[in-house]
Amino acid sequence: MEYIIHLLIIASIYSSLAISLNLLVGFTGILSVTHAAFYGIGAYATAISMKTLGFSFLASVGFGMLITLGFALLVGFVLSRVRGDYYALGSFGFNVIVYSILLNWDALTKGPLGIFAIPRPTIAGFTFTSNFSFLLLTILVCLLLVVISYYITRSSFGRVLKAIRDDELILAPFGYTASYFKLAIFSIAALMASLCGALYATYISFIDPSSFSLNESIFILTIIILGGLASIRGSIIGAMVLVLLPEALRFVGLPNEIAAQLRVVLYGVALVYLMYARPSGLFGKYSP
Amino acid sequence: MIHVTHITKSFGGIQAVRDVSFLCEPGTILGLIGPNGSGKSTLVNVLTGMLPKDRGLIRIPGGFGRTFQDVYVWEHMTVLEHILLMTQQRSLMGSLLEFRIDDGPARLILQRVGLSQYADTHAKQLSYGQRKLPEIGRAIATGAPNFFFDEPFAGLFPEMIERVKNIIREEKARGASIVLIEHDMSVIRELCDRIIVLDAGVVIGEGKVEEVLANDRVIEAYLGE
Amino acid sequence: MEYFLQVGVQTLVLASLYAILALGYNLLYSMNRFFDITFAAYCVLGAYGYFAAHAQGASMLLSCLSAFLVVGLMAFLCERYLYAALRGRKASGVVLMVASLGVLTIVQGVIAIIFTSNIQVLRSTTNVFHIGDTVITDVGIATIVCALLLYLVAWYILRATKFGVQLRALSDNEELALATGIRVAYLRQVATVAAALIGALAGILYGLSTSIEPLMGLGLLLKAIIAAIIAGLGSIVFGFAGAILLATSENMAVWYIGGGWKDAVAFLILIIVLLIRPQGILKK
Repeated sequence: MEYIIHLLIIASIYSSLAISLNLLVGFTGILSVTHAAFYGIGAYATAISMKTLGFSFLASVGFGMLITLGFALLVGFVLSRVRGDYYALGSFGFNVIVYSILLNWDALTKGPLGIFAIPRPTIAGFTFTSNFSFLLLTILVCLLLVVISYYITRSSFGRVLKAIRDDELILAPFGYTASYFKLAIFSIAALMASLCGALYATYISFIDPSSFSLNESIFILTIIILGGLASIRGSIIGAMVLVLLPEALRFVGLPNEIAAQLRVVLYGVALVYLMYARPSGLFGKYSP
Repeated sequence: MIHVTHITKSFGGIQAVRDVSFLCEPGTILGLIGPNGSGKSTLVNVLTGMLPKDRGLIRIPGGFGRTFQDVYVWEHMTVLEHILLMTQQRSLMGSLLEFRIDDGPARLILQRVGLSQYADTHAKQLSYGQRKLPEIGRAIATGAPNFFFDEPFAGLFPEMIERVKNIIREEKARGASIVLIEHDMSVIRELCDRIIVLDAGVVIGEGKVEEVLANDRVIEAYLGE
Repeated sequence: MEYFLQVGVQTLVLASLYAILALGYNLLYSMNRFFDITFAAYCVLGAYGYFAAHAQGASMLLSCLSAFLVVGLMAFLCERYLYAALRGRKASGVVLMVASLGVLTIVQGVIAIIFTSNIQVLRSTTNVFHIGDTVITDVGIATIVCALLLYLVAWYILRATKFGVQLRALSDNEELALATGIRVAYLRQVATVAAALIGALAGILYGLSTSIEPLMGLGLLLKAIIAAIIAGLGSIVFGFAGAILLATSENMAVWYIGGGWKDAVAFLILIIVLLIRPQGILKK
């Protein structure tokens, strides 16, 4: 039972990450492969401010978001100057750079050793010590992100994002500055990822750079490609499947190692198959 | 009003538009004609801010709406959404705060353009001729007092052509300044008050329709192609 | 002074490896114009193909050939059955890229299942040569020699053979190439296999000089892309210059600020190039 709660917490966090990335990739058509960087910045900022600066959880999250916002504006701005086809590659670059910072700036991040003993969050006097209570917290956050995404996609702002996805050049003669909108949604998605990082850090109580590498960004991207682009439902289902499926494979009796790799092979097959048969993903509303 | 002076635009070594000036008063339809490759679309792209100009002054107070020669619609958006994009808040903050939008004005435009029953159809499902209509709807939905229509009739069925002509006349009656790029001379004669002729990027004639069309130089430019 | 020579030699070896990678990648890109992640799969499959053959007792040469056989076959099958099919369905560059990511994922997973995810070595001894006080490994020399040979051969084929001319035509304008009767599908298959073999070679050389693990492909691919972009993407022969620039910058970074920042520096250069001169420093 405890184990299932643990799985659900991880799945919720990834659902939230997927929802945020989908706003960017599926909904606005911005192929960003650097999401793990913002996830990591949020995690580290929260961990460091809670442990070293003694901030409360909410203050740490706020602080983390502030730092993430700074990075997001910078990265978003620089990437916007990169020619379309190379955007994804450029974003890879930022992920690698942030990862290198996390790995090498020992004084701040303790490098490969990571940061441990990160305390559980305390909000309004209540500490989320039990895993069950933490699960409720992550579900709440996920719900919050669902509501925000829903609002964004149905608002007039969302309409502009959809137009950007189809053809942003045509927006200019109609009085829209597409770059502001892109920067805005990039920052919003990054802030959401940062929040997920704060949750992850305070749940697992130990973080190290390896959780925030390029592979992580690719994993989150895989979730939304499989689950479905531009679909909130798809993001959640995709995350559930990709997090819970390997566990199901373990019950089949395969040794751990092989089960883990088999799931990787299955993802690969799913990706190839989907690109051939249904590029929008299982529940996707948009085909690239 | 659309007032431009000394517009010049080159690509590499080629001068696509050279020292073009004209004035289109409110409530006037100015036809922009010329042989293929004379720079008409380039001129309009420069005036509408899609290409940077090399030299010249552009004054289009009140903003503008435009259509494109090659239809550019947003494939995955519905026809209604195309219009809503024009009637909604266009600033970043404004659009973020606008959740429920009154689609009345947008639907009125759809009615004018004859696309009411296609309101919820995605643009990619429309036929070529039909796609021109959301483009035109989008242009007039801007509510701007100036318009650039780049060959709006190409590919349209006869009923649609009449409808679009009426729309253009209606906007003129509202006092808009309209620049109309067109190849069909009968349409030019029917709709335009004045015309301006471009050949190889240079203005070779300007004024009342019949006078300009009788001009030797203009006739030569067309015969030559 | 000797230190500089040593770094110089190491940079030359690194540059040669990157040059080989860039050559293979540029060949693929010039034809297909999408970010083909399968190239990473060719590298890792090549390394493990060698590993498997060698573990069975095959000589170096035989192991290489076995690896080439496996990689060549895989490349042919992917191009002929997957990418050609996707192209037939008018798949966009993004779709192709994601599909290639899927292929890499499958290859990585299968390799990990068969060989485990542990880091392994392709051999246990290294031969080292001395030129004065400077040291260079046998793999190092082999890498430099391979790079030079490959580029010479590539340059010759592109300029002086019918195949090369057709390849350039295809890379310039596919529709025109088709219209002039060039057998585009066949050309693609041959060139894809060639590029894959080059990738496999790079994987083997890298494995011989360092180590192998299932996830090694992506890193090599990214270096290939960066070297290619610096010089000018798709420009097959310029890749060497890009590789030299990349290797030099990386080693300089290692010297001044430490080894951990190597990748960050490589990507920083990429981003700067993308901002300032995306068509590449050398391309017209």
